[in-house]
Amino acid sequence: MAAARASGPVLRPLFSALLFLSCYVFHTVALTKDEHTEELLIVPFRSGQVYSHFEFTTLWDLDFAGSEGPRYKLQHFRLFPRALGQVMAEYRVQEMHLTLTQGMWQQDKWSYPLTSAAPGAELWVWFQREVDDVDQAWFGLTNALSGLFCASLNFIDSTSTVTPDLSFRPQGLAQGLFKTKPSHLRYATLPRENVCTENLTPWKKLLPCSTRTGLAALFHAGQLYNTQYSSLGVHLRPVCQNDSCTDASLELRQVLSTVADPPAVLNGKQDWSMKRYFSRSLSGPCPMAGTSRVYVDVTGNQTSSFTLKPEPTELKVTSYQDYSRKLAVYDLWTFPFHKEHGLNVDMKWKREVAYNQLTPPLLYVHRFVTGYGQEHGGIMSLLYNRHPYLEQQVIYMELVPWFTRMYLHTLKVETTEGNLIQPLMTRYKPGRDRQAPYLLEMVLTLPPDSTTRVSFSFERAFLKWTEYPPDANHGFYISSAVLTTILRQADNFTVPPHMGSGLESGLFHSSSTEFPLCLHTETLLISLPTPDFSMPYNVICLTCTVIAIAFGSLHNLTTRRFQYTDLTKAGSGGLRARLARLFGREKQTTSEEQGEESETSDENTQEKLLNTNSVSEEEIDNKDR
Amino acid sequence: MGLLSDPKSRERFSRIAAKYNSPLCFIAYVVGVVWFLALAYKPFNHKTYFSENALLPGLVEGKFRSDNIATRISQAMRDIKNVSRDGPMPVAWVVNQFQGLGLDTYTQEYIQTIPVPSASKSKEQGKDMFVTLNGTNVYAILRAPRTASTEAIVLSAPYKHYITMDHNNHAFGLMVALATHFRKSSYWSKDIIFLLVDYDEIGMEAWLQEYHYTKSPLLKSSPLHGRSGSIQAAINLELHTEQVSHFNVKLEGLNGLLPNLDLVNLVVQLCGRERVTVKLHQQHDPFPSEGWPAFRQNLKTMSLMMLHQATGMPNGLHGLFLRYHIEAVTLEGVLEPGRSTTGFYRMGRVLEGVFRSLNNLLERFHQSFFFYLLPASDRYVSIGMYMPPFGLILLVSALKAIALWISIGTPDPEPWEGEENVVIERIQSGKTEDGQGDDADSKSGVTKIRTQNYSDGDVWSLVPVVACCQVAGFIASISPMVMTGVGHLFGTKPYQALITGATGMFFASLFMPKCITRTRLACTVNTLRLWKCAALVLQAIILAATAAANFSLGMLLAFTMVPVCAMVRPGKLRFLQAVVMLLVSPFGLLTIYTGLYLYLTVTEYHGIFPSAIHLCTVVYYNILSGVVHGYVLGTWQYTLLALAVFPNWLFFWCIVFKKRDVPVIENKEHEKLS
Repeated sequence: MAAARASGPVLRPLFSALLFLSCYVFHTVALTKDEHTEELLIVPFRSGQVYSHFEFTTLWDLDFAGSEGPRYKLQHFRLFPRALGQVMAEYRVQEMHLTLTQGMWQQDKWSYPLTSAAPGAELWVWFQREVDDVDQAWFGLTNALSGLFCASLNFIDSTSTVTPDLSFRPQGLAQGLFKTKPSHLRYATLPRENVCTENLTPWKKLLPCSTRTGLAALFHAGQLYNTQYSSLGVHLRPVCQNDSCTDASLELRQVLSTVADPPAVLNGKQDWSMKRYFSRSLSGPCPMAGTSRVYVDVTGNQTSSFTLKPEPTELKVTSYQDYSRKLAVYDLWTFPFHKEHGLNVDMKWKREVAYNQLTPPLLYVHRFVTGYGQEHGGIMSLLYNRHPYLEQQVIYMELVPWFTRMYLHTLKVETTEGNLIQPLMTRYKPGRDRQAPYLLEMVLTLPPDSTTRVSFSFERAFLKWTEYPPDANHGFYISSAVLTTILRQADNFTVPPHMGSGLESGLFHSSSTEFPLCLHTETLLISLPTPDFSMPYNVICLTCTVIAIAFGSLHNLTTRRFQYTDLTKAGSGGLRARLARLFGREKQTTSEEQGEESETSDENTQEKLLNTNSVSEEEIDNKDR
Repeated sequence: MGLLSDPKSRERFSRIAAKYNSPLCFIAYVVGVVWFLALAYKPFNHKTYFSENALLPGLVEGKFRSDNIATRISQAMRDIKNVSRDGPMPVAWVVNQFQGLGLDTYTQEYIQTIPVPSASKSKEQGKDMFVTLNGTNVYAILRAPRTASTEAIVLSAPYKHYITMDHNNHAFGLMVALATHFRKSSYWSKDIIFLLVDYDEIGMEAWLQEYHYTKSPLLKSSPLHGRSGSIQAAINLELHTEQVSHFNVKLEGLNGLLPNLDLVNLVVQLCGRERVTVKLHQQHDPFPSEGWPAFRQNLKTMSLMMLHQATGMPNGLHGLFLRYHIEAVTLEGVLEPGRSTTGFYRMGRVLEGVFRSLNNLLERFHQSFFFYLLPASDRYVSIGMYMPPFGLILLVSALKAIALWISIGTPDPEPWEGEENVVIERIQSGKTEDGQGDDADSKSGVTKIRTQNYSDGDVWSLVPVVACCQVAGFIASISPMVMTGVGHLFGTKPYQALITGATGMFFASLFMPKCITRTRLACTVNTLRLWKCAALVLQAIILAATAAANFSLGMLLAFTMVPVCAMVRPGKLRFLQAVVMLLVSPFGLLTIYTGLYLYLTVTEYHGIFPSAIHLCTVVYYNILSGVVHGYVLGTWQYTLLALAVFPNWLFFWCIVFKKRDVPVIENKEHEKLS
């Protein structure tokens, strides 16, 4: 300031302008409060794998009041990523869920994930009620997101987009200003999408601290993608600002989960440390983050003991229903980084992993292709309800691409004992070739302690030759089926689902008795009848030969005129001539050629010549007689 | 070119076909056979090559070092085996081995019903009529990281060797060692399924059926609780000893299906890289690779392959994968005394190489040949090379049929008495006087035709004889099961009843010509010509269709049946003809080719009598397995023979014994007209 004063009267107006501006900025910031939370949950699974789940939550209290509905007035970005915010504002997105996943979550071994994701890319969006042309907005949004995340989302078109009625309800606020219309939902998956570094880089740029400090400093692409499973997600939704829900705020959750498999490389031990699996340790919290914490699930420490280093700042025990969980908490804001040379969470097991028969969760799904050959096929899902006495109501959604033409009449829902199950509700949208996929949604009641088979057959379409992707013989993917339900028990959840923001509320403040659950099944690879693309040359040769042979003869037969002639007069060639004809092939052919030439020019010659080479006359004669 | 439109050339063609028929047939047959046999000679076939670039065999360095695990596990399994000899598979122990590695391990229990009544059981229980087998397959899935379990490769091994009923513990040891090694790597892009199969083929079929959920009524299985995606390839492992001298690569699968040549090449190439000898049908590749001994060796290998393929029965567990469009081979480790041996270490490295190459695959195997014959492990005869000689052999039937068709409507030069003549050339060299309706021919050069006998062959007379033959074929196809049912009532042993059923109809129908002769069918010489013409056309079609599905079967049938059937004619030398016809009957052919197979494979010769006994046993066993496999695995060889080849043969058999029963009227007509 002293410098500004000293610089003379010229700069004075500029200074005052700056001062005004900074005051204004301060003012707006004060008006629209935002906060950022970063959390990491580490869960060692009994099956030997270690699950690490990063969750970055940005809450932005926005002023939604105004005549134009809940259109976000997204201005003055502070912690909220501007790149994403502008896209959301442009296409009037109310809620968006995008996941990019490599690998498949193994429900029977790892129980339920924090956020379930389909292998490949999955995107579902609720548009605001005021949007007139949803398809247009959807098209624009997918293209924008495609550029933003370097993913092939621009390949989402009408053949992969559906509007499910039952499966995907809004996860955030959906009343008042945010009331939604069922037609404003769009859902699409790209099961063939490969996810790697190029998607991670733009994703981590959305974080306020990027990867310079805080938990995001652990993101080392080479390590993250050398795991069993890795999934990144962006979830945007409006949430209540307070308990009375008078005001809403915008919540952006950026999620990254990986499952590492230490026993595979460490002679059967489950030892895990940040340095080994992220190739660095933490140096401090992100300065922008209000909360910065690392939780380690140490519930299993009683049975298979391991030592956890360094000492956690806090040990918390939380219980939901009859199930209690012990968590070691590292609060990065209070952790003595100066003493410890960074935080490197290190778990060391005394013994090797003892693999036992694991008890799968109470409800899980397994899906596969049935049949063989290239004409027909089928898809079967096994829905397991292992609960000993409770029925389970689920919504099962199947999205089948148009080239596997689904036969609804073959749809069969039965238990393995053979009891038919009547769906409480069925929603079916038939697909159309090259335009729309088949969508099947069913509400089923799974009997207690049962396995339910959902099966149907399909016919494999024969595509046009331009419609085959590169590596056509690799096959075609069918995206995961989705199972949505509400569970009454939380034991199998890694973290019970909750409505609040951040991991903390789910871990420590979950008091509900109903836990919504969404499960994705396996993606399927089917082979369609594929032409041999390396064979066109052979095909052309063969076809041309066949045409040449058949065409010449048939043309000759159909264009020639047959007439009666006096054979005794014409055929006075005698034995010599016959012999000559028999052996003298050249002579014969020349006369033939002449005959054909003269067909067009001179009919008289033709008649004469015809005499010489017609057996058909004989046949006619015979018939006459 | 102008065959359709130009009556002149058509006529000339038919004249040549008729006139030079016999020499043409002879030439076609001889050239076809010689050409085909010559394909086994090195200059006439090609060196194998990789079509699929993605395989990249041998590009990576093998890192397999877990051979001590293989030794330990196979020892442990042998110890268990000694405790419970001939007992069921130690399922819990096997499951533990896989689970200890952290693989997703599952079991599948199945009960296979074989529709052969079990004599012992039925007496005891009364209800349980059929033979049932129950077993438990154990399989473990190594989940590839970062994939959604969409693709898989299978490494399978039977729990016991099929014929020796010896335990396959070495293969299991190697399998676990490979699983341990594979588990450590993160480069897998496809899941790997390790499968230990109980009861060989039946167990394998049970697993595959359940994996693809294609239900057969004879099989009950517990559902598979774990699956991977679509299986891209499979390797089946059989090791007889811990140290092997060579790998015997088995290819032939169900119904003569063969794995893609790229997979075979891959295995052969990687064995060569690790200096493990490869043999096909226990036959080594000849060295030097040219010359008469090499040709003989190549021909032997190729013949053995054809004989195997023609049976339609898989010669290893891999054969059952092929139906599901999963390319698969069996590697059989054999110890031949006096040869240098290979241990688990190098075998493991071969398999590691194979799996890493398969892991590289971006697409299913589709590039290379699916139809081929192998005279040596690195030489192949493709479908484009072996089809022309086969076509030449079939041309004999076609030419003969054409000649007969043309001759219909011409008189028999020596009607009804004396030497009978169905072949046309005699007619043409015969008389020259004009018959009625022949005047038109004078110019066009056809020999004057006597039309005293101008009744075209009676087409309707074909109906009863073809129908009878087909009915006989149908009865033959169902008789094994009917006979076992009937035999069950009389307390005969099921297998005896089954054989009686399979062969009984054959011998019974030898008397069919007697029955047909009794019926008053107007059977002129033209009718007989028509019969034989139809039979030949039918034969050509059947053989061509068979060859398209199972080339070896078609070729072996054509090789013997075509010349004999082209030569048979009614009447003369009936006894000789009957003997030759019996030799080329399905039953006779089975005996001949089984004999050939034994001749090629069995090294010791014990004298005529024991060999004959041995031959009969093998024939008996072949018929039995042909029938039973038809029901259990779905091979169609027995059905094909019973429903198509046998009726066709019976047709010819009837022609041989057909008596002309209308000489009087015809002669009169003839005399009148002349």
